[in-house]
Amino acid sequence: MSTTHSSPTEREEIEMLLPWYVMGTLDADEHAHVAAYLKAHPEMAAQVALINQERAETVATNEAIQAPPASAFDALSAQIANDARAPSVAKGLWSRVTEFFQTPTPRAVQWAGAAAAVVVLLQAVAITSLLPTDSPSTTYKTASGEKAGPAQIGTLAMVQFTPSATAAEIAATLQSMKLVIVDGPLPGGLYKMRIAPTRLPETERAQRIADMQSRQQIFSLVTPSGDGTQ
Amino acid sequence: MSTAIDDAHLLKRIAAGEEAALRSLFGRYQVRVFRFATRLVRNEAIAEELTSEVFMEVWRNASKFEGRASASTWIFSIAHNRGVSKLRKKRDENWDEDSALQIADEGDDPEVTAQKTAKGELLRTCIDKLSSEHRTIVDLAYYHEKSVSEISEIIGVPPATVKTRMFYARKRLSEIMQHAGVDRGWP
Repeated sequence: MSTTHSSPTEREEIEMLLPWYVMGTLDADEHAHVAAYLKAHPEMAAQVALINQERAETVATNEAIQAPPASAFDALSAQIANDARAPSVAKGLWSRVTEFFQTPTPRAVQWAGAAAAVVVLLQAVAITSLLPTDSPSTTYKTASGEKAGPAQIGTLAMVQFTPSATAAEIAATLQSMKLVIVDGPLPGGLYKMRIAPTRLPETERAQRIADMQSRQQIFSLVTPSGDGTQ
Repeated sequence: MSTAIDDAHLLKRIAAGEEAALRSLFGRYQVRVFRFATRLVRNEAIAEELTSEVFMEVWRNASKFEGRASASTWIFSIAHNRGVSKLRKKRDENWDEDSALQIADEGDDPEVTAQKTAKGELLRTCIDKLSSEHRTIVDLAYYHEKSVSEISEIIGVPPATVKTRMFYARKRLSEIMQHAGVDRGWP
């Protein structure tokens, strides 16, 4: 059988695709293109053989690496638990929050104004509907500028909203997660928020805070309230 | 396809804070991620740490997975990025060409070495002497069975670069084998 003369460029193009052809991971068009070339150039079978050798030894090398112990996930699980607890035990973080609180930056001042707009929006959305019906004295009318005694019950957190979050997004999140602003805006653009109507056990509070922290498009900071819960 | 659907579903559950879903995903990918990491950083202790970091990042950022690539590609890209960062910190790219050729014992010439060592084992040794960049491509294509486009996503280079990098990895492998006394007949 005579072979068709091919330019080096075409041959090299095929050689570049050959490993994936052997692995069966080319798309249909490329696979057909390579298959046609190989049929027209049977001398390429030697290269296919080389690639199969390379593949076999690469697989052998990788499979010789012992799998890590089954307990590896337990260690990861412990890290996750520590990660969730970190805000409540990291006094360093609370200190950072306090410092920010005491020395508002121009950005914080900007946020104080924007945050007020959020509060007004929330007030307009009948805040009392977000509160549990069987909690005593659960209604309050505004979250800004009033001492809200009943609002101190439950589990509290200090939050800061992500600057790019719109008021509508914030309101929707607060409603879906049943979060209630009980004070704010405070200097530094902080808000005190009730994240549960009752005092949560430590692990549940940590999980609740972690859930809020995962919504980075809404919250840029979430930390347990330093003034304790009722 | 069903695995791809399952992985995406697991990631949604992880994003919702379900640790059991992370455990399932971990069970599926831990060994392969660990092997990929070990081959990348060349140190099993660091690879174990890296594997843990990868799944911690999956835990924290599952909500950011958009589904444009497969979950597997996303996980391996995290592993690659973190592994490369660790390598940069360790300044581990010190395997120069001369070192790559020192496969034989000092007292053996290449012909004796080739006789002593089964060809497959020699090939394995020579693959291991490739640079980190070349080894990564070889591992992803041959062991992890990733396509050109998947490898492109994982290591963050264009598909054309993936193909040329593999081409030169194979060429380099033949050079190393040649120095060990084995002519592969290509290139």
